[in-house]
Amino acid sequence: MNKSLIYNIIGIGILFLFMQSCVDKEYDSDKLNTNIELNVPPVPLGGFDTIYVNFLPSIPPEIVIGARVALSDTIRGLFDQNTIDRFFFEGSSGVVISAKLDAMVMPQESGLEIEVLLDIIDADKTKNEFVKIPSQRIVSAKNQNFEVRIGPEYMKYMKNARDLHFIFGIRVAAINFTRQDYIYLRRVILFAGGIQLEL
Amino acid sequence: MKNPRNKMKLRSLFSVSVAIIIGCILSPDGFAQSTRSSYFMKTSYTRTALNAALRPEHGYIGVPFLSNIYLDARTNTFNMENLTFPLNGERVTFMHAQISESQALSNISTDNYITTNLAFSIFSAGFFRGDSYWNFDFGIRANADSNVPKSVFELLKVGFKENETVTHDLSNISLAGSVFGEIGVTNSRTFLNNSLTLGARGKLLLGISYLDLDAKSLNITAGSEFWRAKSQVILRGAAPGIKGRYEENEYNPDKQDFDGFDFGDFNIPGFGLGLDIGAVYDFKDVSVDFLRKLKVSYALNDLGFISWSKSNFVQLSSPETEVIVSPNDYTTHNDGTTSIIDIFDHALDDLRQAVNLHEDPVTSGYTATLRANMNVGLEYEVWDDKMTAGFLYSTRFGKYFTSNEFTLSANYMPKPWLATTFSYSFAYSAFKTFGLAVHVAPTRGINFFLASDYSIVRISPQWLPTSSHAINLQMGVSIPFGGRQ
Repeated sequence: MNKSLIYNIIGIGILFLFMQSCVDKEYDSDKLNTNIELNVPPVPLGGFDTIYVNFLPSIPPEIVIGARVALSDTIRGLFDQNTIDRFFFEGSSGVVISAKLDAMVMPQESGLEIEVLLDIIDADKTKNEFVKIPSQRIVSAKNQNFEVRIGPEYMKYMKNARDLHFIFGIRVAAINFTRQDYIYLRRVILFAGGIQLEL
Repeated sequence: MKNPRNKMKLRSLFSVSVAIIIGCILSPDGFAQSTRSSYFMKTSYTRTALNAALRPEHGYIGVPFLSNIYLDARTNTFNMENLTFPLNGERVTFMHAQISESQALSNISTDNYITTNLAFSIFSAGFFRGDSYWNFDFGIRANADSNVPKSVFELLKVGFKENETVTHDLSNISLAGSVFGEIGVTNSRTFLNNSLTLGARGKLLLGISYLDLDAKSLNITAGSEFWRAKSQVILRGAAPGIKGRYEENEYNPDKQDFDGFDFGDFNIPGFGLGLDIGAVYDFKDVSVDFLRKLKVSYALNDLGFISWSKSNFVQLSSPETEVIVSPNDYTTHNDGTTSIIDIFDHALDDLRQAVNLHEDPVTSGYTATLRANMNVGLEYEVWDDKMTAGFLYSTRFGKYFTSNEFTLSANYMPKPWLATTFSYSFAYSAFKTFGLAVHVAPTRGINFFLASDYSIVRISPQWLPTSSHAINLQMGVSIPFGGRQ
């Protein structure tokens, strides 16, 4: 065999030996954990659809102790699977949905007080009994602070969450709703701290 | 509002940097068309590309498509060791929640670049005639540079705060690259009793494609009151029949989003000229004894330009655009059509409009300069006709950054037909690799060479660089003719 050909073959062999000896198995990207967490700014959710009190369905007032009237409304589909996966993951520091609330329900001098109870409705349309959201008290006025606070301890129960359910327990001397009575949440901002993704 | 694409949008945004990185690794750039380890090897015919005054020992005809294949990539940051960390028995990315900010950013520089290069010779030949050496070659070259400033990593890792308005300045993101054919003619001559060799290489350049993305300014501010993005970005592209492609914005049918490029029938969209010049001085005739074994060399390469024709060139820009997103801009419906992530994606899309590129009217072609590079060499013979020691300083003047390399080499020729070089390059080796070149160059038969400046490449099973900052490899096959000079 030609001598130069032998040397060529040896040269190629050396090259392959070099390359094969340098594979770092600990960096196997197929086994790389690609879960990441991003610190996102507060998310502007805008305004929720206006809630016209006169059209809300009634529920038994016993649900809200002491209320004369209990009305309910639901924001459907607020939590879809992507939302849950990204914002409501175990290890999250909790999620707060903050808003300014305008409640124009009966005249201000009526002494009306509304207790707002908040529940999570799961994908199977049942109330999520594990997630406890602090209730809020509002009056008939504009520009009130309002928040939906879901603590970090409830994240593991949010996996099947879909809707946010409001119950308005209304206490007043005499009920006299008009078609113009409404509750409006605006400047809704979601404070989540971080979101979780898989690259 | 609901759209399956929404679900992927955020992931896509944060995958952009990864895509750019992978794209740059797969596309090419660098110093020249030869390893620096070959610079002092007398048997090398490709070193003419590093210095037009350097010659091989004898004439040759390159085996078509195999006479020179050169691949090179280097980075100061982008490898798996810098971007991933061990955690609880597995590896995680720097963006994992349990990797601290200081740990994640400890390996990140102010500017983080990748520069890659490919040279592929289709035909080449060289021969001696009197004092002259002539070399002809035709090949394809491709190059690309990309720079990602540290602020991008800070955006990804540090991000934003809940109770504070935070600004991330992402200016100076850049990506530049080109692919072109090169027809070169080199001539070098000796002077002063063979002490001085001067060489020049003239090149006709056939431009195939060109891309230049320059984010002159790009910053994002976000807090609880508003999100704001400001940008001034220019994207220039040239390729056969290139045209911008747009798609309807999913939230606003009146808007068009840039969605890439379409191409026409193949043609040569750009023509240019290039010049390499070089000199080698051999101190063999000086009176000072110890200097007689010294050679110094200097080369300046890739001076020139490619002019891209008007019909094959596009320029897109987002001139001084500012977009502000406020909490009053959206509505969350209670009928099941709006989830939190829908609004989030919509807000991100609105913010992205700050960098939505729009095609500028093209009134003329575009001329882009080549990225020049310079080599300065010192060679000292330590063993007559057997071994020399060399020092090579290389620098490349990129459009957005300049990169340097310093290479020390020991060049050993145990037999006239066998040349070897062992080298160490300081800027990218980090004591983890070294250079190695082997030339089998008998005067008859087939010549073969294999060279790398970073021969121990540490890679993952998927061929991604792990701890290496540079990878290069060169090989070639040729047929020699004529005797040794």
